[in-house]
Amino acid sequence: MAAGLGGVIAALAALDVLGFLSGAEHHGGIWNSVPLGDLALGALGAGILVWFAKRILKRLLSRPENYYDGTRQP
Amino acid sequence: MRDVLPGLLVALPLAGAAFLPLLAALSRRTTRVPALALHVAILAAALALFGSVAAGGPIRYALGGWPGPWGIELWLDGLSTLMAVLVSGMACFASFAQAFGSNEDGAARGSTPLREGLLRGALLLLVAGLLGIVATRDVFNLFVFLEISSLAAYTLVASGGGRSTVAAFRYLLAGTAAGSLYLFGVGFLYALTGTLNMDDLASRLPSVEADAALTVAVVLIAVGLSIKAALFPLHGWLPDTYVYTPTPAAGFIAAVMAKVSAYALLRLLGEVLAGTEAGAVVLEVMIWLGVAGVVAGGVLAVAQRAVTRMLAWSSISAMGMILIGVGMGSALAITGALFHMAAHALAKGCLFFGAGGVRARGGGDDVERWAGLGARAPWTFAALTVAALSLIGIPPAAGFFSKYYLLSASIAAGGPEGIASFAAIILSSLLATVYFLRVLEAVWFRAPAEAPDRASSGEPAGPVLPRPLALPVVGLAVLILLTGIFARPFERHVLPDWETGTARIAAEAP
Amino acid sequence: MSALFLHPAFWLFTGVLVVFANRRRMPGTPVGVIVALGALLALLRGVEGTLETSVAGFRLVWFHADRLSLLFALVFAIVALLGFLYGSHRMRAGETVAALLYAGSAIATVLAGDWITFFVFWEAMALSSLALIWQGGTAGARRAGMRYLLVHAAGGALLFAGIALHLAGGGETSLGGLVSGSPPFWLILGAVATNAAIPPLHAWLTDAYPEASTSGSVFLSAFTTKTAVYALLRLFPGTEILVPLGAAMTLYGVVFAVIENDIRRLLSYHIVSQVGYMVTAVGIGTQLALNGAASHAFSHILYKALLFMGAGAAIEATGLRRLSDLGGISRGMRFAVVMYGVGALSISGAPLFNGFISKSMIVSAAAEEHLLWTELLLVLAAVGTFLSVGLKLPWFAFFGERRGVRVRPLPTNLLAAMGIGGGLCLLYGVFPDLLYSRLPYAATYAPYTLDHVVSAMQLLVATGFVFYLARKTLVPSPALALDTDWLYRVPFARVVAAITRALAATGPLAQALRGETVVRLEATARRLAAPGAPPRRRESFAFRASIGWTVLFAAVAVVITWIVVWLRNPG
Repeated sequence: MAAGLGGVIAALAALDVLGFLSGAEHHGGIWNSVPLGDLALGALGAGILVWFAKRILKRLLSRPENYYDGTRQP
Repeated sequence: MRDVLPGLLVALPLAGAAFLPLLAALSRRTTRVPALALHVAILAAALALFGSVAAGGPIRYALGGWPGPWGIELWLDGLSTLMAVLVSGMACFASFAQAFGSNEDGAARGSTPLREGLLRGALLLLVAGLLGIVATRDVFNLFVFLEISSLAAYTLVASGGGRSTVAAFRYLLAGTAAGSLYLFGVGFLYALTGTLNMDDLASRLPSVEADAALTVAVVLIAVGLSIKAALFPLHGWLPDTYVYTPTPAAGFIAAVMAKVSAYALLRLLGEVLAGTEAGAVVLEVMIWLGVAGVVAGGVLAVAQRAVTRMLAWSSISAMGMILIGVGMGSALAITGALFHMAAHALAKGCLFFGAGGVRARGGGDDVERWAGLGARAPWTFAALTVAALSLIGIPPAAGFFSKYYLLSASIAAGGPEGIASFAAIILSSLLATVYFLRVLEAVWFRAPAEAPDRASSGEPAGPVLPRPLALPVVGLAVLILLTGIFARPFERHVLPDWETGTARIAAEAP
Repeated sequence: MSALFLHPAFWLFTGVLVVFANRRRMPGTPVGVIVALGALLALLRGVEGTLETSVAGFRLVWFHADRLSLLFALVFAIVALLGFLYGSHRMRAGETVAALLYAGSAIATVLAGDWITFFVFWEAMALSSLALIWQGGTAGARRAGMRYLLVHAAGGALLFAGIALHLAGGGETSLGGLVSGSPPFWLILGAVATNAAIPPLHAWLTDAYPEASTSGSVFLSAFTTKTAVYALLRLFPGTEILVPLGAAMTLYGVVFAVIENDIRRLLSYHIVSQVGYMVTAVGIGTQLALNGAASHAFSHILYKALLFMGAGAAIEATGLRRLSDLGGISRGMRFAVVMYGVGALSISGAPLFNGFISKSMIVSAAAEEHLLWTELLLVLAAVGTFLSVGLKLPWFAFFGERRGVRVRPLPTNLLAAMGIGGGLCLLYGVFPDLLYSRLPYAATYAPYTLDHVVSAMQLLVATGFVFYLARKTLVPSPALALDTDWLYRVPFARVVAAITRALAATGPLAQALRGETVVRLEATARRLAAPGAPPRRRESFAFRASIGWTVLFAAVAVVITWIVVWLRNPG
């Protein structure tokens, strides 16, 4: 598993470098201008997302499933 | 044609009202065919007049050959012939339902040919009164016709027995108060000007000094007619009356009664008394009360559980809209008001025939009891759905265009009252969506409720609506769509008469 | 007549009549499939042009086909066909009628060339979609439908008000011509934003869509929001406020989806998120961005329908709808799971799938305009999309722990619809020019550059890695999350209840307002009818109040009017 993941990342890094060497035009932000920048951004972003949703939002907004049952609803 | 028809329009139902009970008493046979034939004849006369006025301009008709301002005149222009067609057309539907449907409460009390003949006579009398109000050019004569129509209406309302009697009594008190206030107002006017003829009044009023007496006259006339037109907050009589009136009559009364009074308001305040300052103030106040009525009617309709009571509150909301149009008085607003009279009359007639039919079949009046009826009578309830959508304001049904005209008029009017009426009309659409869709959801999407009384009595499940009621319901739905589609020709037909009429009065003012 | 056949909605509306007339004799859906096919064929001819009729003095442009409207109409017809095929084993006449009306009015809305026609079908769409939700048949569907109605009635009222103001202000009747920043502009934008489910106006979507039937939610996922995107493209291109709104919207949906437990509600939050991409693109307003919005709408409809079909398949097979109840069911429904996977990879923007060819266009358009933050948010949303739709949902629903859930075999028509949907997602992903050749605006785009492909792959791999690490944290639990619908489900409902109570309070004015005195008075009437028992005084009170009120009103009216008249010309 870990070896497979390592292989995939290595392959992507190689492709990324190839892209830079070929001088192809790059779009957008800083994460596109460093090799494996997208990988780092993705991992960071997904981590923050999980943390925010599960640790903060869930604590604030989660209610039992029958929360609305007793209320008078339109 | 033109010299006979106007008189016939009023004389025909009046004579019929006397003749039918007599016929029933003498022959002891059912009078359904002569009654229906009479109503069709009246409608034919109204249609002929409508066409004649459209082709050859307004008609002035002196009753008994006495010319105005001494005699009583009838005046038929695009506006009044339209109302005449509306009234006599709705009467045809009501008469059809009355002729072939069993009056639910009447049947329980033992229906005899004589009793039926009397009720048919009352309907004809009501039609006579309403057509008289529409056609007359004399303010006192208008009072007479107002009382004729009211008396006939009390009879029809009370004919259900039980709670209807109480509702009729309440209606009678309110109606009498209204009639008295109107009569006081006319008395003041007569004292001030010495005339009762509307044209004569309009030409003499400018020379009358604007004092408290004139103000009292104008306000009393306005308040009196506003009660009959169910202008908020003078609408107290309306919900019970509409809910407890037996079905064929309810469809007719709910459709046209209040509208004819609104028409009288339009005639008097918008045309005859337009030159007075009190009139202008009253019209402005009427806009604001109309706005309040539109909102209050809609909110209270949402709060109802019984279908007919919800429809009654929706009528109060609709009358508010009509009176907003009357109050604004611009050509666009009058078009909207008139168009809403027609659109709402067709839709409310349709819905009350339907709701009454469901009630008559033991379906009950609660929204829950309407569950699953759509699957049992899809065409009838499709027609009722069209009526409901028209009142919500979904094109191409007629209701959309009346709201459209009134919205445009509010925008053109501008100012705080323009903004308020714009918002109120939009809000009323929103509220109507909520209260009608709640019923439609029950009709189309829920499984039929268990009917314990029927199941236990072993009575076979018949049609949801008696057939004589299903036909008017479907017919009116078709008319709603046609009226919507032909909205623009309508506008072109009615407005010019109104504009020349008011322009003439403006020109006569010094 | 041939002009009529050209209009795809004509086919669908004819189907309504056929199904309605034969509602007892045959199940509706063969008709649904046939007429949807007819509509599709009518569209594939791709005839541009305008047809109009003068009805009652109004000029109604009921067929206005240019490249933009044809693109939307085409994908609507495709998804209608898939939906009817998918549901044909279970859809009864009522649901078929609702779905035909819904699809037909959505197509007619995008083909409308004037405001009145547009409004008619916009409203018809709201009502028929409501009918479709109610066909869910549960108490939950009924209540969610009422709330859906409340929101859409308000949206429709805004649109009506906007159109009335626009036309009264001398605006053209043909669609468009809104003056930026004018009152009608904002009113109509509000109405369209409601249908596009832009937060905080989005809760109707996530509230109602999961309550429809399995086939119903396939239809629902396609039409309402995308018609709104079409309206944004047609009426509001380059409106700057849409950029931040859309970008926030993409993340909003994603975040809520992470904690969602109901599979179709999770997918509904991703409709909000994906529509956010399109809203952003419309706001950016360059030719490339507008093309991106149009093509993303096209792609989104296909893969989102496929995803809802997959979720529906899980519900059909097990009768369960919560992630916390499902698990380990893939064995019994392999093909459906694979096709769901195709949809999931498409929505995540994996290369070779159709989401990639349109989503990357929008991200590139943002990059070209140097909207760095917008681009960052869009990329983060893409990450979150793969996390929830591509990993969390399939992991906890299809794979993962087996809970002994019984899996019923799925009908062939359902699998066939999913197969076609998945095939289309791949087809457009591999041959993007099939879609690009139909795009309305003048901008070309090459999705398959090394740069794009590699960065997309990196994002997916990174997300997979994080999911692996956080798989314990992400275990779903049975709970609901509050959203903006709380505002009208709790405080608003309390206010309404308070008003009703206040109106129900006694007192002469309240009684006069309610007009309900008859209940008490009946006792008096009975006593009058049966003499002997003298009526008590209290019971006639309301009558006197009613008359007294009238007289008081008249007196006050006289005084006020006289004062006003006197004030206007004193002396």
